[in-house]
Amino acid sequence: MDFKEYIQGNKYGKSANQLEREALSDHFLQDAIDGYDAIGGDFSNDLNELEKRLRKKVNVVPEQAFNYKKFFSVAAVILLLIIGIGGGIYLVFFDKNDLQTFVGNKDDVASQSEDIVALDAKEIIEFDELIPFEEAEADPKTDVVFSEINDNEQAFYDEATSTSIELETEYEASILENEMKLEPVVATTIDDNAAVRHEVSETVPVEDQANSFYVDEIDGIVTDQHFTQKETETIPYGEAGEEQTYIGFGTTEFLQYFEENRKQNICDDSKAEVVINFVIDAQGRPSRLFVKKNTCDELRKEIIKFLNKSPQWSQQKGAIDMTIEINNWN
Amino acid sequence: MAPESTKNLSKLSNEELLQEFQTMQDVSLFSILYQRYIPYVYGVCLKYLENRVVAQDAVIDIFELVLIKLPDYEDFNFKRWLHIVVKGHCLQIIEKEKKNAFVKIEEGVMENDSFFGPIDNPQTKEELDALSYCITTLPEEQRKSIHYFYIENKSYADIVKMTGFALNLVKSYIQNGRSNLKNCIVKKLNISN
Repeated sequence: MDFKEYIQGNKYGKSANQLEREALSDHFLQDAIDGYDAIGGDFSNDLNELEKRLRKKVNVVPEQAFNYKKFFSVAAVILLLIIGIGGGIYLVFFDKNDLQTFVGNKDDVASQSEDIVALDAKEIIEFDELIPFEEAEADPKTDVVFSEINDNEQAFYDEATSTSIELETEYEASILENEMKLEPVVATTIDDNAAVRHEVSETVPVEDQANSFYVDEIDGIVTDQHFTQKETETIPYGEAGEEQTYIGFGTTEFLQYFEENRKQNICDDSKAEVVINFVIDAQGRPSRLFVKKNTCDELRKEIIKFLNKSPQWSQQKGAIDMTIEINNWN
Repeated sequence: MAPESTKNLSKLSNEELLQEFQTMQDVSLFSILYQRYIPYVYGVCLKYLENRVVAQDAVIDIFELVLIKLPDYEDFNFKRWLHIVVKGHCLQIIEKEKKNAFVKIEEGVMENDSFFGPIDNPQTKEELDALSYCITTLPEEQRKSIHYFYIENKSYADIVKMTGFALNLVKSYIQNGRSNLKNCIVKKLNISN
């Protein structure tokens, strides 16, 4: 039986007996029963009135019951909103480099393509401008030249490579789709297991081919590019057992080129490893570099230097993960 | 609070409601819990203050009081704690008004419940025999009241009607009778063992 029913007068029978038995071991209940019995009468209205008063009371929070937890939670949310909105306004309206950041659909991007400058391309250009270019002896194996890093630019390197920038895939995809569509001239299948590169060009005999990078441009737009090398050259890096279709310069070519031309005797440890992640922008340049693992700073700097001066990369979808290990066996 | 939310909260147990309140610090949650105890709180206030209006005001004052004083820790007996707070508040009111009221504290009559198993529900033949014997040793009023209450499952109001005893006497006979039975059964079973 409900206690309220008992109070309202239902005090006979087995149900009432059960409640009273319960009260013999429940001090609170027994005290309450004694109170109603002492006064007597009908208490239904009293209880209804009390419930009404309590409901009214709940709408007014007593001064002492200040909810610090709720207050600070709300304050934190407001603060985050202010920071978020403020940051957004700054990014949209106050661009110090006078670059236009376009946010829109693909059609708008295509129609205004001339006005659009990819942020990362700009960064790469600026990055290049800071590095003094020195004419180096042309490597017979490759057309690519590189320059030494100026010590004064060390800080810039560190800053540029120590942070990662999230890929704005939609924006990047729209640029790739509407801008520089590179048509492969020759495509061939490479079997890494054999560790032998097949011929890329059908017109030049294999034995006459040298390692070279060929680029054809019309009005600044690349229409043809491919990288060739001698058939007997082995590819030390790359994923074994995987067939890859190469359209030009890519990870494998870079790794081989790097290994052959890097500074020797760097990194004190017998083994050093750097893992990087980057994408190829519309101009065929590595961009949005992110260093995922680095056990030797010297190696990292060397890789970045080579990436910066690498030839135009073939367009590849998605980010590239590249692992470079060196073993200093002394 | 939306009606639908209130409906869902009303299904929560007292412990769950208390936990929700301790987590969310929402006064409306605690008010739902307190509403369930209003009959208890009001009854105790009536017992000590002996005045409906004063007792009703005390119920609302105690709501504010427990809201502030509610302990933070888990696993505490809210009902027991609330009873103590209510009694304390009522005694404070009495002291303030300088009433020389004689407050009858009857905790002494509330024996340890665990013993009264053989009286409420005898399990063995020994217990049943001891109970049957001990009931015969009780004074007549206590014997009658115990018999009607425990054997015939009659309520206080029923026993008042049947015997003509006053309500407070019926309660007194039953409580004293239990005490006497306990002493008798303990002696009996110990002698048997």
